[in-house]
Amino acid sequence: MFATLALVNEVRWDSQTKTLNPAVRFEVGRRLTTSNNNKISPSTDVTPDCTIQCNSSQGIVAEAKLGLPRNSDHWEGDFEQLLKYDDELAGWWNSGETIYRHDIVALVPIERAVLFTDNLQTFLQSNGYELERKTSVVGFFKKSGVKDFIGLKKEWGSLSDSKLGSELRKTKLIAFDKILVEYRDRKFVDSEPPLVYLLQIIWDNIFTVYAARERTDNPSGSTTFKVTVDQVAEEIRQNYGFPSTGDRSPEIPKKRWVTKALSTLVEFGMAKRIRQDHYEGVLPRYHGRLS
Amino acid sequence: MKRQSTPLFEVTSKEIFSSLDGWQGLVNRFSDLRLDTDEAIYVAVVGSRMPLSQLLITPSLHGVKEIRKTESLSLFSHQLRGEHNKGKAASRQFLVAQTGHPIVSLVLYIGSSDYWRKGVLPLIESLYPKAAFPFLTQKEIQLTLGHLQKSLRPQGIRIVEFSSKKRLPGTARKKFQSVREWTDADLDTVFSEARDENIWFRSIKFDIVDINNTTPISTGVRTVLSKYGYFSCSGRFEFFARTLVRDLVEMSAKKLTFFSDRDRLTNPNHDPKPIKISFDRSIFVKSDQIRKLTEVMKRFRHGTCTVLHSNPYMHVSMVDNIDYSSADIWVLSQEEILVVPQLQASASALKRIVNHIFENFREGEVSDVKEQYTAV
Repeated sequence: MFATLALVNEVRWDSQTKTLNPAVRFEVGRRLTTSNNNKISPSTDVTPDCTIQCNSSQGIVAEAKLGLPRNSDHWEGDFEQLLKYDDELAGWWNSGETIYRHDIVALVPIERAVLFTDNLQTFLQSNGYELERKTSVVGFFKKSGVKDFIGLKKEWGSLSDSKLGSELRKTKLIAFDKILVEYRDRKFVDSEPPLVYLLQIIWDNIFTVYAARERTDNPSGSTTFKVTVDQVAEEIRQNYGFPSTGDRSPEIPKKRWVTKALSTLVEFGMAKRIRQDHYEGVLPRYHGRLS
Repeated sequence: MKRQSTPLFEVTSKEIFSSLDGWQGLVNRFSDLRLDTDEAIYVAVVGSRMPLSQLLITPSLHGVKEIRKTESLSLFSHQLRGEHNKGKAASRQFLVAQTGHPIVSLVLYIGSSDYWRKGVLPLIESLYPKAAFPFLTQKEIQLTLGHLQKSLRPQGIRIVEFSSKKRLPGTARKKFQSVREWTDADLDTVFSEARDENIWFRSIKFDIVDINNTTPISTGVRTVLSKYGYFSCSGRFEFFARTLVRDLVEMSAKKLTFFSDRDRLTNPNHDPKPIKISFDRSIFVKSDQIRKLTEVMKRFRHGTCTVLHSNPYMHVSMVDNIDYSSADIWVLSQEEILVVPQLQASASALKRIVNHIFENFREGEVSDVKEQYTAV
């Protein structure tokens, strides 16, 4: 998540005005559509991790690969995914949903960036593919110092925005806390998170809101409250994920992830299922002296 | 030297609240107050969004009754139940005064320390999170006492006792040692020694002294200031009312305002409004400090701590199990801790989390995270 948002931040950053360019549009998990001529999946919907539209004629499609398997033989699927994006994709924020050109960026852990690049090139050669769009492999890493930064370094390829390409080649550091504040503490991307992570957010940040609303001046023991899957999912989307902004815009987190999480709470005896999609949550509450 | 006039009509602790004619009138009457040997004047500064006098008349509070009220003063009687008082039921009176800051009230009680500790303080504490005591950092205590000392000139302050916490070396099984120490030293010496010995004060007892040929002579006025914003004094309340009380009220109002309205639910677009705790040097150079802070957060009283990440950076989620406030704590810098209030986050709970860090890890400076999005 941080790597994707760091790239977005870098694209939005205007070094002259020292501000973020509000005209740049971006979305995590936006649904784009491939053309009939797509080398891998013609006329299909694809969902890159991040779609960035720099202006009306230029865009970037980025795919973040946090969990690349150790065995690089298993990376072919990832290379094919990049090839899917090497196409006239529809779904941009322009009338007609097309864009003059877009680049492809693969975001990979810095320690895998060289190997990823080498294997990508071998894959392309051995299969006779040629990338028509400017493609680059950008390594991401965490840098600790006086402050903690997420670092982006272009290891291979080029970008249409040569200035951006040159900056990324030299390595860009973006402060973690700036990303946290500017991007409103987003906690999800377009892939299913570990169940325990979603449970923690529901329990600590969403259920607490419902429980607090139920409070009376004379409470005793725990607080019981009723919730629906839609309600919880929407609350998380609005505050920690991404609500849908239109047909091509995904809902993050997805309803089924939330259903699974609430069912798990029922299994653990920490919630009750009243009827389909309706649950009753219980939070313990402490009463007594603070000191 | 100015002689104090002998009061024509002395009043006792039981009579002082007999007529409520405004704060200043009450303060003036303190010059006629005669305290018994076991009595003192107790004052607490309390922060609350709703007037404290209103919070105290909620039906769920047992044994509290409003006896009289004026525009700015409310007199309450409080029945302390037997289990808190050696099996005997006891009733006392205390006064709540509004201050110039609508979010800060004063609680005034005259009597024994026993009742103050077992009756009044727990009563106010039970109003959490709707009402809460502020906390003073070591620096703020020093500043407050320094200011008081300045106002006293040519008299001065002599520290006679303090209770404190001392950080024990890393090898010790306990993290802190509670210390009560009797001394006879000036303000600057005590604070400078505290810094050297890595201790911080929970309360500090001092005498007001006349300085005669550099030898301090006690005036008989003894005061105890707590880091939780309350104090007791054995006299000269008129002086304390225009100095110490005023400073504590200002400080509390500033603090409560700082911690208020940081919950995401009531912010436009539900944007987070993080707080930064800065230290004057690089604390998190070594990972053992992150580990130490993580352990501290796990000990947050009446709360839940979920560790999401503890190496190389720290990210924990805190929930206050009393009012369901939550906040994420991040360490993303060697010199800072970031507190990110979540959807539900009361000022009292945020203050309690920050105070927990200050008391159990180390004190820093709190500030608002400036929204400067500079990519380096």
